[in-house]
Amino acid sequence: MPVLKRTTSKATLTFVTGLALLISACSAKTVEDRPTAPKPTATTTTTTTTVKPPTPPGGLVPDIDNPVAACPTPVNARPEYMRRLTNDEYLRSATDLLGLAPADLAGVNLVIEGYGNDIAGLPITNVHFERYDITAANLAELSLGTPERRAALVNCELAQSEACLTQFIETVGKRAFRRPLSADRVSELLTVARATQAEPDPYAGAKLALEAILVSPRFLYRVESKQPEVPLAQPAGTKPAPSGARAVDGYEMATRLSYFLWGTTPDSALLAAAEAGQLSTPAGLETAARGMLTDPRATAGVSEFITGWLHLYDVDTVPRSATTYPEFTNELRTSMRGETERFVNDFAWAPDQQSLFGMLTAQYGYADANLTALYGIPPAAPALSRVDFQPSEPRGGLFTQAAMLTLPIVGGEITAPILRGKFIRTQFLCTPPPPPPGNIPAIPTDPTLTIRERLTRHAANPPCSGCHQLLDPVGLGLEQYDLIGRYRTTGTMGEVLTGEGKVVDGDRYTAFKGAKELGQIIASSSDTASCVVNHLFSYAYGQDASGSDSCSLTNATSAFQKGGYNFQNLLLSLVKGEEFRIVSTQDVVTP
Amino acid sequence: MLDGNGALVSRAGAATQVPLNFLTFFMPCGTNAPEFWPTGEGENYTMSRCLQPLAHLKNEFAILQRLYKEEAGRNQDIDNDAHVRGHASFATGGSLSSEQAVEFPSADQIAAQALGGDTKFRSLPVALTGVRSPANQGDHISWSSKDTYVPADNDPLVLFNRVFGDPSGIADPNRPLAKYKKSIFDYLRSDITDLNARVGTHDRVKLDQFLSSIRDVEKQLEPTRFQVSCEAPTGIDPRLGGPAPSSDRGTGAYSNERAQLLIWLQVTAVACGLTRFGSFMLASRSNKRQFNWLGIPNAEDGHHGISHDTSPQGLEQQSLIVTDEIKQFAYMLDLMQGIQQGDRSLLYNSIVFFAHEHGHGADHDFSNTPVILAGRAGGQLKTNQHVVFNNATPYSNVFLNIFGWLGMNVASFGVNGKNPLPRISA
Repeated sequence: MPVLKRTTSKATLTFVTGLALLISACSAKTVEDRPTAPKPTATTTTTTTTVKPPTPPGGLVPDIDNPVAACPTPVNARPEYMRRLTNDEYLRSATDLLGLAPADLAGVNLVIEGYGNDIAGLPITNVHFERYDITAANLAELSLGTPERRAALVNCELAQSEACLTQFIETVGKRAFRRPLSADRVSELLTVARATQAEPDPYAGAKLALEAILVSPRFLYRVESKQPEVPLAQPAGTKPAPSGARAVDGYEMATRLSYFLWGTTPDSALLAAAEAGQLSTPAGLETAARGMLTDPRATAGVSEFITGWLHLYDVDTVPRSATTYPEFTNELRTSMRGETERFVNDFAWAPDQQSLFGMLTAQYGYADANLTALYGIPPAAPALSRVDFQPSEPRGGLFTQAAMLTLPIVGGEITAPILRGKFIRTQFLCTPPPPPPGNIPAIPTDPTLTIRERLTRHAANPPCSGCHQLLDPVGLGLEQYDLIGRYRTTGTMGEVLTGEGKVVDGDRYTAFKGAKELGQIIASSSDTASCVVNHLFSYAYGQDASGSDSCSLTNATSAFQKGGYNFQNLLLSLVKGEEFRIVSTQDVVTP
Repeated sequence: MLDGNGALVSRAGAATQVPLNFLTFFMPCGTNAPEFWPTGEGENYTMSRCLQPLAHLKNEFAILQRLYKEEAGRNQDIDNDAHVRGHASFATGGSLSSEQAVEFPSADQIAAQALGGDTKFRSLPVALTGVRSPANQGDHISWSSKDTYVPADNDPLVLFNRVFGDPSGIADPNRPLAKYKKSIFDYLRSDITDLNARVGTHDRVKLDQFLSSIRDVEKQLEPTRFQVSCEAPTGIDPRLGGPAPSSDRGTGAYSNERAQLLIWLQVTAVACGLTRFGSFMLASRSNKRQFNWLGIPNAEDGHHGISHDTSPQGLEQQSLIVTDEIKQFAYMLDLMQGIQQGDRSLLYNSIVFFAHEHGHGADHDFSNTPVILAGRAGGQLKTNQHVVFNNATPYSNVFLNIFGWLGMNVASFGVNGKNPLPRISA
């Protein structure tokens, strides 16, 4: 999933309040001793009329406090892209399509790529194709290898008739390509099958045809096109799309829904719902989506998003010196990741009106033997199970969890506050500072100063302060947790650690003490809601949002707010948004 | 240039009978410049501390100083991280062009596109390390187009099977259907022809790549088509197999043993005529390679952190690391020199382009990016010299020399490569 990791002038999202001006340049100001300015209240009366800012091209100025009910035309219709399946999507799609179990695919060897579903990061090179080709042959052999498996795929006897082979190609092919095959495709696949006529294996033809299906770009990519080979007519009464765009057809909608909510290929029931026109009305779409969210497959879909958003994959690889942190074993990594996954899921799946952001302040967690030892709490069950924390304990909320405290940091104690600050600003506030200038020197060593003192001095240095006053004070608030998340009261020089920090917002800041208070601040910041929406949007579309998406993002954020920041509702509101329904008909020349 | 018999002819007129190979070799995080550069210019130079592992190979390479890789400074607004641009500019002649793309294909792939059609593999990119999450241009050094990186093999077992085994399954009695793959590829071509008419322009690029991937894999269906000029090895040490992780936890995943096995597999593939082109990425800056076998304790940021530590201890550690990595490069050259090809060696018939991502590590110094050109290019490269240019000489010019030695007509390379370098042709 693309991460909003930098802000450039062309990608600045105007819906982010306040910080837009600051981001464009690292200023020389510091924020020491700057008082918190009160927010203007609605009770202020004035006789002057409010000056409305001029309408910029593309629509109204988005204002999170006064959302527009409907975005003006033309709504940003996202470009039409072939989206390659990620490796995880491939594995789930193949498993579901072929009636296999995940263990059947344990030996599959696809090109290992970094985590994420960024369209630009998912090519098919000859190396990829080699692996897809071998995998397809193996999967075809496996899924047609026994009578039970064959019966699960087609309800006639493949060995006995070409009519059955045809039915097989049409049935499995339709689910693989996510729309029916044309007569041409079926005929060509039959030709493929017939090449094996001399083989003693009566199922050789079906296997070879299935192998061909599994290496077709129509399986490996999600294809959207305005002239599909086998079109599905829009039902009467379908809301028209603005000019320059079209409504996606039922099959395309089924595919979008399925990969967004389930992370896998649409099943027969969903394709049938598409054919019946049920995905082409707002009510039908909502019903379908709600049903999908109650399906076990939605767990995988939501997990995909969370893993990407919170960088949980980094827990597996972040390096730590084995001499300094002998406790940081692979088992501990697994426990850490497991705790946060399970915990966040509690809130991602919370019922209507219950907020996702409860995860930032909740007074419980999950721990196993590894984690109770790390957290210094009485041992509970050996496996991950719920642990409640007292208000006096330093645990409770996402920012007190070992995974979140560990994974952002590379480079030791001096970088920890900076990188933790960057992680929180980027993933939760979507207000990272600009990237560092080239050739920055290392922060000067000084054996007489504490980490906090060194960083404070560094952030006061004019070329450095513009960025570091955004980063360091956030991360310094977490100094009471070491580089693998253990709680400590004294620092590297024996100094008392206070956990004092600040979240800077333009020319204001909010002070806090410790991770739990930071959780409260982030939970109540208006930037957080729009940031989550932004990350989810990027995940849904495999691309960062652009300026022209800002109105829709504002609306989605407003709905998120009105829905009590409930994550399930947010998923639904994205599905019901206009972008999800339409796609551009303009040719995109550059990728 | 080709003579009347189709053999390559150097500018000096010496005909070479064997098609030349071209490999690149990349090291991250720069050097400790005072201990890296040799003293003295020309032929009579004194090897530096860091280059000692190459001393016995002095006749087999030229070391080039004060080449300016100006293009690495381009497009800092896309990624200000000098390392990402340092990696992106290793052999592409340019920098980043977007969040995921570079500006130009890499030299090894340009050569592979032009000349790699007659071998089983058009090229063979190999890396010691895995790709991070999320990946970016700092994870790859071979690019077949500005948007498409070429994945590097980093698992010795997979590489072994790919190169010497029969991944297509043609010869495998347990895979009786492998011989019908051509039918599948014919189907795919028709499928793609249909799709091509329906998708947007940018997606036709993807389908085009798909088609050329099919062509490349199809070549492997004809194992007898390619003259394999040596016996395939019987196997590898399975302990060194498995996919490479994306960062080094100091557990030996990035050991020199594993690096040498990968180098050995790549060189053997070239020696056996399976490919003429490749790249070797010893590590990227993000892999945080650890060097505990040198007595350097595992550091949070691995080599990268050390390369920015300008204390005496940090600089000493950087020198130790650079020397150790140069040793792996020397291993490759020794291997190639020891493989006979006619009355010459594989090294004689090859061009190996070695570079760090930048010069002095702590400064990300692109103005003095170390380049070592090894191999004789069939007699066309003047080795046994330390050539010092003038800080304004474009780094990318060297690729024009290389393309010329390969017999390719390339007028310019990247943003700055306009003229072949003087003084390095024999």
